[in-house]
Amino acid sequence: MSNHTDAVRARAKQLLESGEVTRVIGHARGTTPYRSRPHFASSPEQTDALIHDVSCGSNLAVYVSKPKERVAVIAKGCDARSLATIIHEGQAERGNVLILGVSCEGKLDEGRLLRKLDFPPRQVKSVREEGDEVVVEGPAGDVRLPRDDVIMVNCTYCRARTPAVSDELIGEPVPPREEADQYPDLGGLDAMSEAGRAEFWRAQFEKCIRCYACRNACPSCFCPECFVDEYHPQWALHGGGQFRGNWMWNVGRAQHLAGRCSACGSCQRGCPVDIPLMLLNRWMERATNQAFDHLAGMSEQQKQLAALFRKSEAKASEHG
Amino acid sequence: MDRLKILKSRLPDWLGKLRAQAAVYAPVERAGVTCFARLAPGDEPQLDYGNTDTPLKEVLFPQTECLITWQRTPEGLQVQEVDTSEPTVIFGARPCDVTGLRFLDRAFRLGGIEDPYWVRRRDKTTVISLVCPHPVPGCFGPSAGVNETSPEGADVVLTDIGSAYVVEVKSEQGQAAVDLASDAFTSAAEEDLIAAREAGETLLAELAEQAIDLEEPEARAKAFLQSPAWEQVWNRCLSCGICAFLCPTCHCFDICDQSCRGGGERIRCYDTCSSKIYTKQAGGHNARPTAKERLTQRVMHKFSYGPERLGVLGCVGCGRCRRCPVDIDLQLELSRVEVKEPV
Repeated sequence: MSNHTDAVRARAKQLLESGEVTRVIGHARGTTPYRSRPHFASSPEQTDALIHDVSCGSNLAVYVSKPKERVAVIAKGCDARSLATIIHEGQAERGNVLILGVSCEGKLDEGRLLRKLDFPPRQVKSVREEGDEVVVEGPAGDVRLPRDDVIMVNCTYCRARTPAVSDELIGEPVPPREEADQYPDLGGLDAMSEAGRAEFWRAQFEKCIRCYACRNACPSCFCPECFVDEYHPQWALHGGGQFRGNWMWNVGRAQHLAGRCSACGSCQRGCPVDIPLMLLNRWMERATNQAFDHLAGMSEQQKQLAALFRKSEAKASEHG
Repeated sequence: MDRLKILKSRLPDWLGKLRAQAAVYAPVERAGVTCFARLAPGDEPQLDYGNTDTPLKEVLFPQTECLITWQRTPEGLQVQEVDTSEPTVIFGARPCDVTGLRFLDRAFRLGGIEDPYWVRRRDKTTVISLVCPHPVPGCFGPSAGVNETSPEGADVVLTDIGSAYVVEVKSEQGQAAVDLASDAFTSAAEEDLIAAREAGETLLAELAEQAIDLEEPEARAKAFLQSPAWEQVWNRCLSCGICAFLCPTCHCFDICDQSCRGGGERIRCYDTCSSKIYTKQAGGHNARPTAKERLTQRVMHKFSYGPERLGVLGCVGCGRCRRCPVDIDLQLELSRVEVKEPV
């Protein structure tokens, strides 16, 4: 069960009333029962709209950008990983961020959920979790679906269902998924030849419309000027619908996130043309995890991957 | 004009004849996404789609298009204009997307100044629209002024009546497209026309359940920008380009020169007012430094400047902008705002 709405509201209200923080960044109900939206509470009254349930997937760390006063963030494990990473990278003072951790067993993938329903989306009345199921109230009563079938695929191999970094925890701790270190999601790519993988990604990247939702939804993409927007030099051809520039953009984005990605899936969730970006991110994560024994944001002390050097890294060469 | 009909089994004959004369763009699936793409011989259009993920506009206003190329040669700089326009048929476009072309037709000819790249493609294009057999989730076309059964701007309109389509020919260009395969069409019987009318009535009745109130768009836009909801909306905007790039009427573009090894090309590609660098000027000043100013521009252009300058709403109710990663639904926000009587 991960409906923490009441606890989140109560704690957020306390924090604002006492003046410990100036703002609480959380989620509110979106336009449908299966959607949430980021919500900013700056007064105790504004905490009434806060929710935290299975629909609250988007990574809220993206709204933490050098805060001048203390803010609280309702943080799932992945949000907390992102916060730890960007704090380490100088994007916020640790003292200015109160990490209000929430335990999490996975958040909805809207597309996966709606494909499972045999009625129009507007007839969804409510969505809730019961045990290992997501229960959708539709026109003819409840539809019970296994949670793993309707949450983001990246949630099914989450290693931070209980935030590894937080100031407080809401909800009982949940152990990490065993699949996390085995990368079952990469099996399909592994089975392909190098040429097959190139073909797979060509078809995916050709679709890219260069809206940069993947970048803008990502807490780790905080550069004031992104390489793809630079004209002098111009790193990637501008404009969507053409392969060369799209390849440069998508590969460049993934590489800049190597060792920095919290596996929240916000990039993939945002993508309007369904490019499976998490496959790319997880591919990078496996490489950096196996070569350098490094995972982003799993502790406050850990250094950034690019700032690490250990003698044992000699083994890195074995991984190309 | 007499109403015609064409059996679905004869559709490939018509498409074959069209393709012999023109580039035919129709809905197809590419790596899990539906879009309008050029049919190659043997390609079947996917006509049972809800709505394409990417909008029709990209056929006439490509995401990226090359305008000129150049090459340095011993004789000097060789500059070549690029014109890839050709006789084109758009087949199976939804009424909302067709109505979007109306906005673009006006925008790209505003004040008598023609955008040559749009005009040269548009003038060679015949539009064959396909009425939605079922309401697409999230569609509010009628609320945005779309004629869902006979859209303005279509040359031919097809309505699904089961084994056949009832065919409405709306222009001379449309007649020419039908005449290419005249033996594939028959006169529509009275019962066919009744079936088409009933299909349209059923569709409109079902769409009424998804309707939203967009009357007085200018007053709504202004009221929304003063409402308490507005602060939450701009605070959460991520400044990406989804809403603009998927919108059938957004048409901002950037032009840049890209050179490599003594040659290069001048391209134009989509741009969006929500992007941080859209209004960044030489010297670094940014006239719209935050999402607040940028999203204000979007709201006002869609619902105030558009109607004022072009006479039509900058929205056709397709609902694609609801792919917003942070659940910003401007139309819904506007429909909920209280419009006060002018003092």
